[in-house]
Amino acid sequence: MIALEAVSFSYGGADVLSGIELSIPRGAAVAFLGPNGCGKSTLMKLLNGIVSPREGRYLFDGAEVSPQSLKAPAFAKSFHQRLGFLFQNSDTQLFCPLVQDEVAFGPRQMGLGEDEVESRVADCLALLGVAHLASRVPYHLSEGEKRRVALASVLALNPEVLVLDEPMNGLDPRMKRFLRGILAQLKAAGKTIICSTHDFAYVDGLFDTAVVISEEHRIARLGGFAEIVADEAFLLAHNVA
Amino acid sequence: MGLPGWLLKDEGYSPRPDADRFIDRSILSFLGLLSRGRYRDDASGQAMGLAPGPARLSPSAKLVFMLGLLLLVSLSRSSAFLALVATLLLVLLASQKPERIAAALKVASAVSLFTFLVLLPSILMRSGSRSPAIVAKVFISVATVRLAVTTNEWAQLTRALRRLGMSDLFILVLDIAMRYVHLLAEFALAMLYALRLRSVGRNGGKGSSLAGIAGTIFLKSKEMAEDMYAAMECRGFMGEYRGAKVRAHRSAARAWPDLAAFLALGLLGLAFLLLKGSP
Ligand SMILES: Nc1ncnc2c1ncn2[C@@H]1O[C@H](COP(=O)(O)OP(=O)(O)OP(=O)(O)O)[C@@H](O)[C@H]1O
Ligand SMILES: [Mg+2]
Repeated sequence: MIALEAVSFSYGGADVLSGIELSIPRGAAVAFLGPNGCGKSTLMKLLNGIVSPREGRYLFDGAEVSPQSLKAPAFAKSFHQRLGFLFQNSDTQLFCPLVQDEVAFGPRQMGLGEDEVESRVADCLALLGVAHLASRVPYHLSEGEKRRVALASVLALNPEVLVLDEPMNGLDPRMKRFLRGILAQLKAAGKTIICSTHDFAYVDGLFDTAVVISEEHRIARLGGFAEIVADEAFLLAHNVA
Repeated sequence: MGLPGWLLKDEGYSPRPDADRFIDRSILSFLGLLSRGRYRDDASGQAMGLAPGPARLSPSAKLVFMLGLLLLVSLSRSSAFLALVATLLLVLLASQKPERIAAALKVASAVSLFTFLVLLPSILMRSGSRSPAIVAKVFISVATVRLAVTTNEWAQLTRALRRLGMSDLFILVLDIAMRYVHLLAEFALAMLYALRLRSVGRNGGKGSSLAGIAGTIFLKSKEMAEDMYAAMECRGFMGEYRGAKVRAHRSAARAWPDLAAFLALGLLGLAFLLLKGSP
């Protein structure tokens, strides 16, 4: 589904990602772990075509994702529909006047009929328990409410792959459990889940693979999630526990 | 609750071929231009909604009235006409709640004072200059806009714009600009507080700290705009925004205040023509 071939990236200075070699099959659930500033958010942006590799190639379902290929509207639209992205900062992700417009934005850009859009909006809001916020202004909501609205607006596109940048950040324990439940349901439905996180407490049993990124912006270890999380010495050495 | 059925299936979405209209990042520079204005929501931001009751204008009528009034005021060269509009405005203001009167007057006075100071040399040096009229026009315009904005939720005003046939993209940009200015204002305020908390006692370098804040805000705004644009693209935005269709829902019985407003605007237009004034 997703393949990174020797991908390096920099914002102009030193490399922020360096020699990343990775392949994620359909239906997998992968957690990216690593200290602050190791490049997790950058990698998530790269997976969504927001930034592109300085070196190496990014293949999505066999097709190379690059600024050139994203210039074709048909490819860009289908790529963005198949891959949903929950940003680390919900504020920048919520840009519509009302919560219901926010969730309807994606489906409307896909050109779905208004009835279909409405039923998707209702489904997604209900799924995330925010139906009562439908006619509120997104940006006055609390952090947890914003996160749920942002996720609803991503799910409304029905993506095959969900990329989430620290989705648990700033949520209270009950909300974390709730979100974990939703992600588990999506995984069971066959969606691919890619997630950066610092939080192990609320994600047990969700991920099958973990990728640890080092302070040197390289993959320090890639393997079974349970096995890596159990290796306390390794986690301490890499500043992730 | 379980996942809805459509979420369990693969989407199998293939986009219809589309005109290659791709408005690139230039939309962001437009945002930057717009954001130089200033916008503050009232109190908690849950703006005081449109009060119920028949004697209220619909947001669209209010918007038309406001724009018409602004146009007439800015074109007028007659002090009698300005005096007439100012009187009307005061009557309108007087019918509002005290908080709204205060809000409208505070902003309008501040802006007019600033205009007055800027124009002061011209007023002092040339007798019979048009500067006092300009100050009056600024006051009237700002108070009118303030009044229109505080008596409606921003969301209602954008919906009104849409009903008046503005393009969805234009409204989206306007809307984002407003929110974005607000976010930046909050961010700037937070940084100023941080600066104040850290400058215990005397602080020689306040000037440079303020410059630092300005710089950070600039970078932050660029970053936010880029992230927001990326977020829009990730949800299928290709430079062409498809909004919802607005449904008209307003009974004829509630339309009479709107008619009255249009009538008043017509009368004002007439007064404008009659009171030509001296150039
Ligand atoms: N727009 C940018 N321009 C320049 N440098 C950037 C930009 N965004 C991130 N960086 C730098 O890239 C590096 C990786 O940042 P990134 O946000 O990917 O880290 P992260 O692993 O997500 O950290 P965190 O856990 O704190 O979210 C950091 O050193 C950061 O300073
Ligand atoms: Mg990050």
